[in-house]
Amino acid sequence: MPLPSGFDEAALRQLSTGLNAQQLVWLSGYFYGQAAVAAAAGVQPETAVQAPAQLAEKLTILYGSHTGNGKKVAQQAAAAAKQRGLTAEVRDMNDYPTRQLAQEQNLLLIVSTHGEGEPPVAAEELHRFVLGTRAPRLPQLRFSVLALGDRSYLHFCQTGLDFDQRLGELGGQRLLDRVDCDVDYHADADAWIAAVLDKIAVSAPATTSATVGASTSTSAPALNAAITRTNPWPARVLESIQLNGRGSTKETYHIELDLAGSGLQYAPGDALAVLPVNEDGLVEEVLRAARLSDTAPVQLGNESRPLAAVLAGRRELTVLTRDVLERYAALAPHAELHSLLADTALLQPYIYGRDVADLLTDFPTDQLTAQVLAETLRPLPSRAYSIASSLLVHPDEVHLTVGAVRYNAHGRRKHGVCSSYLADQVSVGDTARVFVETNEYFKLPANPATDIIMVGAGTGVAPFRAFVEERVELGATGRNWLLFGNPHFTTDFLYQAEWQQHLKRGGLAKLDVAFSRDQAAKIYVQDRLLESSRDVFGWLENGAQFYVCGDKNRLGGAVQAALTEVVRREAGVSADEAASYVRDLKKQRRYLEDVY
Amino acid sequence: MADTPKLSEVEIVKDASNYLRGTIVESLSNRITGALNHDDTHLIKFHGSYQQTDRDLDSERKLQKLEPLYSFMIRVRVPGGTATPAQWQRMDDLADEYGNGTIKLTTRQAFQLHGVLKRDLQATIQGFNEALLDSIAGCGDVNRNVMCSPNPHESAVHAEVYAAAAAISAHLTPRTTAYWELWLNGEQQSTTEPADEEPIYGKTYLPRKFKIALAVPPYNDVDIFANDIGLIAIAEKGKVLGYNVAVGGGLGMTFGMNETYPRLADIIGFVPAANVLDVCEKVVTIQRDWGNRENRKFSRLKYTIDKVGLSAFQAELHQRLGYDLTPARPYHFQSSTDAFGWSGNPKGLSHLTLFIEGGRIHNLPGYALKTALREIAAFHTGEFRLTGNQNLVLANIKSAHRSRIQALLEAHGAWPNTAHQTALRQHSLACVALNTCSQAFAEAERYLPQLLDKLDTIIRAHGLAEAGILIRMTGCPNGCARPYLGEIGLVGKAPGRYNLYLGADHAGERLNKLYREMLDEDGILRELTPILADYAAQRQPQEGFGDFVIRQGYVQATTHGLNFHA
Repeated sequence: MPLPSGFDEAALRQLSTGLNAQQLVWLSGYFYGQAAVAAAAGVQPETAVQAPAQLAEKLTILYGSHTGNGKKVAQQAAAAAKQRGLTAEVRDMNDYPTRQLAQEQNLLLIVSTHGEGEPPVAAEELHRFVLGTRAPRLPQLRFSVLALGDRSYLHFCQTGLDFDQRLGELGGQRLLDRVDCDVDYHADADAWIAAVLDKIAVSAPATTSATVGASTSTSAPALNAAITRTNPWPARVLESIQLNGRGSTKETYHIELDLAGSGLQYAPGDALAVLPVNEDGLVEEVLRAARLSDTAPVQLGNESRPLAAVLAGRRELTVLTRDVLERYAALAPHAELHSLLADTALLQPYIYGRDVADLLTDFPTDQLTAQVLAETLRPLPSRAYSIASSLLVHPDEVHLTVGAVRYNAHGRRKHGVCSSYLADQVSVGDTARVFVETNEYFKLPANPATDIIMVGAGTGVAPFRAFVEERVELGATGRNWLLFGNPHFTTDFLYQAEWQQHLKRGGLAKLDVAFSRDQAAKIYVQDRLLESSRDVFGWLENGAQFYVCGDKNRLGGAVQAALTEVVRREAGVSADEAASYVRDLKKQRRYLEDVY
Repeated sequence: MADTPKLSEVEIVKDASNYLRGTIVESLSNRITGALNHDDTHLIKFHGSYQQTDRDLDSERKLQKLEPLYSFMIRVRVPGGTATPAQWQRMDDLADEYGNGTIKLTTRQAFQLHGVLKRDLQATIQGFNEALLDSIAGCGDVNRNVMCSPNPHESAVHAEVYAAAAAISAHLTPRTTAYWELWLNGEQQSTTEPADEEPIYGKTYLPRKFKIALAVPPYNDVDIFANDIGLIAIAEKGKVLGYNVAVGGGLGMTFGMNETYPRLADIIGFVPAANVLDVCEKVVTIQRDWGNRENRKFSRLKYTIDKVGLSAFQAELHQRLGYDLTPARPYHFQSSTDAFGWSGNPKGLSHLTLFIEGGRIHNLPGYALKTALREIAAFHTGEFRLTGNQNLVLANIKSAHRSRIQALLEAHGAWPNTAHQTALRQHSLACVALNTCSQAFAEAERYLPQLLDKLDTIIRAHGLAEAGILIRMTGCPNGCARPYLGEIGLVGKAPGRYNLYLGADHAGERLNKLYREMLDEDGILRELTPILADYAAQRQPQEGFGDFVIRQGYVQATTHGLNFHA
């Protein structure tokens, strides 16, 4: 592979000596992140500056329209560009990654306007992104907008106007003033195409016009070690989206958090720990059951805090554990409580679905003070979620896929502490306290040419979103196969639109889905594994790594059993031999689980 | 090279489709999406179905990283609009099992189910087939459902005309076996030898949809002039002699393109009953050969005729027929509407025409129309006849069933809709529009009832509750609810905004004309109120609203499609 100019092979070799493949991959991501930081700061990364002058300038023609007229104009413009010796890439806004905007040099944007001045559905996401606060500065962008519209509408060509104005505000230079077209757009569009391409053709050789001042002094990467449970990062919530369509029995959130300034790094497969806060309603129920005042002081180390605050942020309330029951039993000598503790067979069903309010109600005591209660309960632990994003693709961000846990038990509505915290308590703009928990083994193969099979059910699909994003970004040549399951196709196909794009562009070689409740007989991911047994075994024999993520009880065992059956069937071996084949995969760390 | 016309995308898809198969099998087995492969979305129309999305949810689902909620509308052909009680029950079952729990009666006397998911398409179509119904050629560039006046009174004449409609429908049904192969596991219902050959259409079918309707004067309740071929039955002493033939009707147009326009069919002569099938076939073949295949906006027969001129078209028809049509016979149409309520002989067979608002069969709180009709279908021995105005005739009711039917409708709250409405509402038509039709710019079926609540107040205040003014609303200019034949036509242009057209006549013989553009609800009421008041005060005996607005100069009369925009 020829090196870009300005690179010295010896220096590179020195830099990479002794590093294994995974470390190299990490480094590539690290430098990519640095490049993004530099770009965001408005400075050209050095490599771009020294790009050979003869390289043709990048020209992107981006269209967004409902009727297809925008696409026609875009294709016409691309053909005209080709005649002038320019290479243009035509992209539909509908599947254009918004972050790519920062890389554009010459951009022709063709967009229609709908209804009362709204963008067409295909342009909505980009429109929101460009007009929003997260839009990047675009100092290297030269652009022109062709707006399609209908003069009989009040907000004629409004969407085109929005883009034009905003791209200018973000630092883009207009190649040509915006042209607004009425219903019969052809003549105006033709003229615009000719004029704007002439402009680009004239200035094309001047690729190195951007000059660079002193190189940026980027700070050394802060270490993850600095951000811990005791010193979590207050991450701003950038986005919180309910992923399930209307009518679903599931409630899954996609949450994007801002890591900018934290120095936090993570790799696909890692988890993000979140420090939750108990909901007010539950705190009140516990206070009522305890017959204590919310303002009663509690001494925690050197500080004195009101009981309500301690219960909300410092103590586990939603779950009962044996240690809490033991301490509590010492205060409240109920015979029944002691017999529960004496017999695990009794204790388990009691604990299941009960919380601290239930305990205090079932076994009341007048021995309780605020201080005693705080010392009886256990510190509120963090909850870890498999990270759903690649840092390479989303610099300074981390994404989570969170299933809200809600159920009725013992006469009260119960909520999972952290999922309901993320779903109900924090909104866009709020902060949540987080830190990274690395997962040593649940990682992409060191060799980017290795195939991977990913089996995920429900929110278990999260790490695989990160895997595929990362592999696509790195240009890994190994094939990616995802098997996903959830109850219903129309409402529960998490990240469906993204998977479809990956499949179309080769980021996924195969995608199999199992929607258990869409037909009379339930169908699960393990059934799809069996249906594709020949391919599964072929991939494994070819060195593929096999990943499972999801519910420990319902998924883990069933998938392992299915895989064992696949091996038995396809290798023509006994059940025992097949089991040993699968065990070996685990030993070699080619069969990896992230189950919870 | 420069002269070679560039065929439209759909033409290329049809040509490559192997008689409408395309990659539909592959599309159906793809579990990753609820949609079909792009090319197949054109082909599925020929099988009677449109791929649609729930547009109410498009933006929301995009944010949720879900694809649009794709589903399918399936249109079931009912030649002449006549269905048996068993067929009605089957449609009712299928609507609940696979559709959205409702049935739409269309303006072409067909059934439509909405909201059928891709994975249920085969089971749904198999369900039709078991009741001897099909959806083939429900949509697509072929002859569509053949319409025929549902009027059950002049039973001998009607029976003859209905038989002609059924024969035309059968003759022009595509011959491809793709439908049976794709949906019915290869089971061929017809006894004729299946062959993948289209003797009439050829492998690229017609350039565009094609519509035929037959009427028995004085009723024009199928709006024959809105069809590519309109046939007016000429009867003498209870026997059909033949038909006046009208050609070149069609209502669709595109906003902002005045070279597209609605057009009524021209009467070109009379044909004896024995030759009517031949005439239909030859008109179809001329359109097949002469129609525009480059730009679908100009593909309908009406543009073919206006391009070459009517006399050139007639000469070609003469050439292909080998005989001439004779001069058209006199006839008179008095109305394009339905007559509601009971009719017929209370001691013998009677008929009940029910007003079905928006053509929608559903259950709402206090209005269990769907349940009532389902229960009636369990014992009714006559027919369920779908009218061209989205209404329903329970035809040939035994005297013993008369009171039982009335009682059921009353018990389910479905009777007042027919018995106690302003004539304005009973003369209303609305297309489906939002949330499922991809063409719609604005609401129609979901909104018109609310607009009518307000118009009813005005109508009643002016003593016009009995005035049967034709009011028709569509969500786009393509014309499904024949808005340009409404005395009041409202055509959606943007959410909540409509163009207002006035001045069509009451019998479907004159198009209306644009009166005001882009009105919101206040604007519609503001514009119509004084005209309705004027009508109440100044109308002459028997003068229709459409005739009145022309006499008073609110709009100029449209005398031909070519001066619709003038």
